[in-house]
Amino acid sequence: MQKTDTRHIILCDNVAVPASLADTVPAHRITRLVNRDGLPNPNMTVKIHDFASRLIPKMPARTRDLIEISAFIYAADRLIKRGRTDQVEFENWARELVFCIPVRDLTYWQQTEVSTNLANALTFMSGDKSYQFYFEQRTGSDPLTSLFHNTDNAANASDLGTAYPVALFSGGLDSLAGVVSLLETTNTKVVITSHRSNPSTTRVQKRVCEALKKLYPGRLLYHPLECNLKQLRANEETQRTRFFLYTAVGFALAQAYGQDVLNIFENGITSINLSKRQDLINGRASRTTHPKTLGLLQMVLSGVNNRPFTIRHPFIHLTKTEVVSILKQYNKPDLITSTVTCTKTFLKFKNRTSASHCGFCSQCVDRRFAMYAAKLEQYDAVYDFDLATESFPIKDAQTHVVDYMRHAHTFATTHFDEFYNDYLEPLSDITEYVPSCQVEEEVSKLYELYQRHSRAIERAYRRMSDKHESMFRPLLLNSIYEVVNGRRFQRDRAECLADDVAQMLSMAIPTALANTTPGHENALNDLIQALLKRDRESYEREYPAVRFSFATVVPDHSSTAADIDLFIEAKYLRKKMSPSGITDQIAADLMKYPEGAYKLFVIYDPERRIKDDTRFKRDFEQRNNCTICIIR
Amino acid sequence: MGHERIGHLPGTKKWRNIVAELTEFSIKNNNVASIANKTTRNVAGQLERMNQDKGVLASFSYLLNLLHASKQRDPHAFLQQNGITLSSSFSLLELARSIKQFNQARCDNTEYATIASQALIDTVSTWTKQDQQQTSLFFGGNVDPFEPWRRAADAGGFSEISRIYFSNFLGRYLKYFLEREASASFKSLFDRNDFIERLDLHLNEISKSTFETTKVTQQFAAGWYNKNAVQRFPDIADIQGFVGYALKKLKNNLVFDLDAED
Repeated sequence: MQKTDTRHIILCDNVAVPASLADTVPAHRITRLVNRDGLPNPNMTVKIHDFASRLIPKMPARTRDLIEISAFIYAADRLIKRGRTDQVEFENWARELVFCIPVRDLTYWQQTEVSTNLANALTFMSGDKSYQFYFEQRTGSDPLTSLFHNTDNAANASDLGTAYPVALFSGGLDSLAGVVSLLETTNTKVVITSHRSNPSTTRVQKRVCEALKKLYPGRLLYHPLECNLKQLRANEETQRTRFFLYTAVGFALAQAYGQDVLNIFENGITSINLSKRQDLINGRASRTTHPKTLGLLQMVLSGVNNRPFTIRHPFIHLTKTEVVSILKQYNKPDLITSTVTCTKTFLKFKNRTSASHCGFCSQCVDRRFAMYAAKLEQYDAVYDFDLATESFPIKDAQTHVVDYMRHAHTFATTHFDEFYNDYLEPLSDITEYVPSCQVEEEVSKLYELYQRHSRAIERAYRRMSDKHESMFRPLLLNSIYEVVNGRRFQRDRAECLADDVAQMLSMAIPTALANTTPGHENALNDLIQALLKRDRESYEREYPAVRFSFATVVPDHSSTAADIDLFIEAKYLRKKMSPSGITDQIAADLMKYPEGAYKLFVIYDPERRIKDDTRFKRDFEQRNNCTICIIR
Repeated sequence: MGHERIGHLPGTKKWRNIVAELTEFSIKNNNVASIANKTTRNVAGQLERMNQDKGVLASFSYLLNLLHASKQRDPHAFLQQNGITLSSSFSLLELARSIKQFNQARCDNTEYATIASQALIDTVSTWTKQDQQQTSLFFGGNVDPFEPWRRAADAGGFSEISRIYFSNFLGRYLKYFLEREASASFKSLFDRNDFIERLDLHLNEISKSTFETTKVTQQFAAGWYNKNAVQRFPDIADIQGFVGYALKKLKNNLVFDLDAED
């Protein structure tokens, strides 16, 4: 193996460095993880025995291996730093990880296909450069089960081998909606599992679970797994492989309950996670519940299961608003406030001591918009920063909100063909595990999903604006309202259209009049009107919200349509008319148009009577909403 | 799950100057050319080494394979010999997937490799848009899927498709830096969108200037294609040479007061 700068070797449970890897990495890039009872210096905890002991007398060896492998990977993921967020390039955010792990079923794990499937799933999910595995035989027997940390979650023999649906449960809004939908649409018990990585997450999961048990007594079977680092501080907080651990645990649970299906609940927009910025690639792209991740994991789990295993994703075609609305549909909105979506709960919130959410991370922004779109904002959590009512506390907050809205806005004006073209690359990943005869239908469904998402964001913004903004109060600076500001938005779009029209006329008029001279201003007006009529459809498509009008007669202000955003007027500068005369005319005309509307004055000056274009235009353009376009 | 982490540009003076210019952008102050110029200067070294990246070379090799195959009697067999498997009536989605798989088989998951394969997929999309039958190409069918690539498989077509590819590549590479701070820098959503549209327009004009107006790069591309790709498939050194030349010319046009020697 060649030496590289980004490779790390992770030795698990006192495995020695394989001979072929000796001296390939420096000592500081060798990480030792110890979980097994009886080995010295344990630095991670994976309580498989607590998790498994009540389920079946003996969890299959391969499944125990799977959970341990996923736990070692998760621990390494947390310990090995990717990089800083202010690097020039993010090359080292993608790591090369080599794991040396003792396993019980060595024959299985040593198969090339098995380790390749595992590596492919982890590489795509994590964005890391590569994963390699060296397995060796685990020696010694597993200790007898002893400690139980959830004695009230014992599985009865009658429960095992039933067709109870099994689901992952994180304590977040989407998984809550998913579990509620299972409880509401079935009459059976529902089996859920969580990964307990820290006390704060555990508290949330317990709280939500307790609330569900009260509402659905005797229906919930809960098997959480505790897995975290011990006496080691986590250096890396991206945790992209956490979902692999989570799914491995869910798989083990499904297997114990005789199921070949595991349910995961996350809205489609978050799962697919179309990139909002170019730098969000590889190690910086989050793909935990991406359809391709699930397809790759299914291959891994089917191998371990020795028969097909399915990860169901019922919410893949739902927006977050639609997922949240499920709780309204089943009359359970009161559960919302107990869930946590925020990824920055480790911060000390300064604004509100009762806050459970920061309010500005990407997850909080998504949640806030969904709550307003679903008209459930009164049930929402308390945010330290409320984007609906407060100024952005930091630049990152503005970035998250602006990119979120910009992204949604893109889909509002995208036709199906454009969607397919512009997102060809991510669509190729999303549809990789869709049967070829269903690809077209799937792409159509995804297009519809993004259209509905776009409309939901617009609805949410209007609701925020209706509730919290007023024309009688000064605009809240450095806020979502300033960034969106409808009137500025409209005017700027009108200005942009004016530029496009000016550009078109600048090219077309000299060509059309190359061998002729218009006798009168009316002839010029007729030509311009014809050109605008020719291109009107295209302008309306590109600027759907801008209403423009070509005025051949200077309108009387009182009769002017108040909702016209752009007025276009032409002037013909001939021998009888001096530049100062045109200046006076324009000045007078400006007074007659509505102040808020944008004006484009097209001046045809074939005899070059205006000597200094810049000077001529400057005074008007700087003080008024107008563009002067001089054509020769 | 789904959490995004915001990247930032380094805190050094040369990058902070670019962020400052971003905040000054508006319709009345279109400083896209200056921002593109300064950003390109900041990463000039990286651009010069780009033709040594396996991922960049793999993407361009894929394009050459596709064009070369389109002229063969049995295009699929030719592609198969070169490590590319496509179904008989492959769709654009399948083609995109194949591009990424080709890349992944030849290099690690690097930033440049990803940007290069994304740029090639953009190019595939743009090129087939010019074809009347694009809608039928979306999901495969009875249309000859190699038809669009035959149009690119001569000196003139190759010059144009190369122009599109390198313009897309450079566009994505510049956005890789600029989009980190863009949303925090502009005053409105509109400015944010407008900036990207103007950047794309600027890069398109630069690439046209590089490949068409100056004629030099166009002739080089056409000549290179006739010499290297028509008779035999170019080797890796030939491809490296062309990619390096094209990127250098584009870079020089973006940073207009650098030496612009051929």
